[in-house]
Amino acid sequence: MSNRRFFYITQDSLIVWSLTRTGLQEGITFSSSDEGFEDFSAYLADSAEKSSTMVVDVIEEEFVCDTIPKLGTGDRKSLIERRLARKFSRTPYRIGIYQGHWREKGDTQEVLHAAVTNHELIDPWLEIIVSHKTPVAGIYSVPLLGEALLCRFRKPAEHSLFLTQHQGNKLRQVFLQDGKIRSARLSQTPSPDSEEYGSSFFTEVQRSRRYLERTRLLSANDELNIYVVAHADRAERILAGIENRAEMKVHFIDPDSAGKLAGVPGDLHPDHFEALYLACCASKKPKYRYLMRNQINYARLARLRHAVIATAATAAVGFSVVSGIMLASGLELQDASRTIESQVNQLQETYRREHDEFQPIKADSHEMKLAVDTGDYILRNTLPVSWVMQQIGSVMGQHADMHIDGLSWEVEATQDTGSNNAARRPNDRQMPVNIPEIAAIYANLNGRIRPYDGDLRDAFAKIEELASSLESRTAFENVVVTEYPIDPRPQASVSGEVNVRGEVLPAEFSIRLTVRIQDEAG
Amino acid sequence: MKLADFDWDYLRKDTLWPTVSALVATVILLASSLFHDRQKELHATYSVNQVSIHADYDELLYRRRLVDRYHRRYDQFQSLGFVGRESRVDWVETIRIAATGMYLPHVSYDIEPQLEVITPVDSVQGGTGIQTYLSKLEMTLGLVHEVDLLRFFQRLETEAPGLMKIDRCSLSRQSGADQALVAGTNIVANCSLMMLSVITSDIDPQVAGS
Repeated sequence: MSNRRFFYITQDSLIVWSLTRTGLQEGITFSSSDEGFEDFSAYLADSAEKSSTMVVDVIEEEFVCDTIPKLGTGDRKSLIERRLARKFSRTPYRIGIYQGHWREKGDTQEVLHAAVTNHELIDPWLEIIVSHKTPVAGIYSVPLLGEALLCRFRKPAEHSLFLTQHQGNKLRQVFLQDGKIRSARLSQTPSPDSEEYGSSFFTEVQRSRRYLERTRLLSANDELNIYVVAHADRAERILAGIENRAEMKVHFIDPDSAGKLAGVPGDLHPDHFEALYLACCASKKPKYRYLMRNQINYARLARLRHAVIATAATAAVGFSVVSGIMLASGLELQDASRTIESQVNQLQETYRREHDEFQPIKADSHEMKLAVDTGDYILRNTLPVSWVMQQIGSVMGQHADMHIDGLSWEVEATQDTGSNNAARRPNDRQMPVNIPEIAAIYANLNGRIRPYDGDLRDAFAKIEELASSLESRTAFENVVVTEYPIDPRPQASVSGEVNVRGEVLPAEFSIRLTVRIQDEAG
Repeated sequence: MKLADFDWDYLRKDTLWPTVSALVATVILLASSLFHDRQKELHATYSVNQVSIHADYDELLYRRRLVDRYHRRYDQFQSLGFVGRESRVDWVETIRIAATGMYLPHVSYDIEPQLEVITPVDSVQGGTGIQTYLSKLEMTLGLVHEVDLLRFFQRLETEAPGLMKIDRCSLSRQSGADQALVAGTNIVANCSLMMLSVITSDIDPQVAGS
């Protein structure tokens, strides 16, 4: 609980109450006199900055119940404000409390007008407070706090009268109807320790009842539930003083448990139960308060100032932290940039040096590669002149009577060589041609058998044998005899001559040899 | 709350230093933000430079590797005359010298105009300046012995500039030459071949492919 200060205004004084961790302590009392005002001003000069709350507990506070028709929020507010101003035109300390729909009263809405009718009770104190720029959280009325306070202790009955002993010899009575404040009184009592306190207490309750009946807030038959905060011994004295308990039910609330429920740290003085109201005010912001009309609200300004300070401080700290992070990150980046710059310089120097060394080679390296690859490609696809002659020559040595008259070979390309792609007219630009890959090699061999005695069967056998040797002992994979000494096919015509002198026609033959190139190595 | 309800002196009290601190912190934040942004920009620029120079250097290393690998072979092709402009004079002279040196009874040739060739190998990384050319050549040779053909072409391969590609050849013995002549034409050879050359950027383009 924070350290809070209350200015408790009574009919003839201002009492400073302090709420600390140890309890609510009644401090200096300033009387409503010039001397008291001066003392209070001197007191405030030392602690002007401390936030305070004004709590008013005076006799001259009036409560008037009123009804208004059912209206919208805006209209209702302005109607309540108008009626309040009319009823209590001479005091700025007034409040109109909208209490809503009442069960028995049809469509009408209930309103309670409350005001401290004698503003002179507050004004001098408030002027001193404002002159010292002391922040005041609000001006709260003890009776108006009673509604919330009783609800903390008990669930109020339909007609409840909540009584607490204040200021030593004053009895505060708050009348609630269905838990809502309808009226209140502050009356003088004899000392609570005196013999006549019980009867005096009863008298005051009876007066209150009569007042409530007169103002039609209570009927004669209504049972009035009286809630009294009192210790057991005082409760006995009060009970002893009650002469007639008809239409009356008395409930005693133990001050210790009440103090705990109200949030009072420490013990309560038996004659100063106003501490309960102050604690209630401190623990939760009360619902109703009198406005400080025509006065600078230093509490609000203090909150605004605190907000400005907090925002500025937070911004300063936050920005400083972010600045630090950004600065650190920037320095890190600067460091990294310098490292990169040094690397780049080093690399550039190396590049320049290497490039200078590289420069004497005129041809572009990619062109060099392409030229070499092109040359290798051409060599791979070139048939050496000696190849066919060597292949056939290696076999012919073993067939001495087979004589070659002619040999030709050619390569078959995979693509068109572009031989027909030459320009057709003199001025036509010639289109580029391809260098084809070797797909196959064809060779044609023409020869004759010599000596030849005319034995065709032997000649055929020798030709077949030569073809077989060529196929098995050379790289040619397909060897076909295309011409024999005669055409042996039945559908062919054959002509010849038998010469008795032994002269025979030459036994000529042709063989076609083929090799297909499977891979690039031809 | 109306403006008239403000007590500015009261508000100003104790709020001056936090406000000034906040303002100073804001200025510092702006300055550090500017510094950070500037450094970030510089870092990005240097990073890009680094990547670029790395790429250049990698390219240089790659080209160096290519040169190391292909340089000798390229030089060989250049000395063979494959890399360089085709020289008809050299070709004709080589044919003449080879034929007379080998005492070939007859040699005739027919060289067609040079053709541009689609380079048979591709390179995606460069070498667009290279151009390949071919010239078709028809040749008729009168041979004493078939070995003369081998020796003749062997000599052309080594002495004539450029690469030679023989696609077709036919040898036919002269009719009635049952008894081989010592110095006359015993065999006639007809061959089709191509003379190939490439022009790279280090070859003078004015005379290239002529």
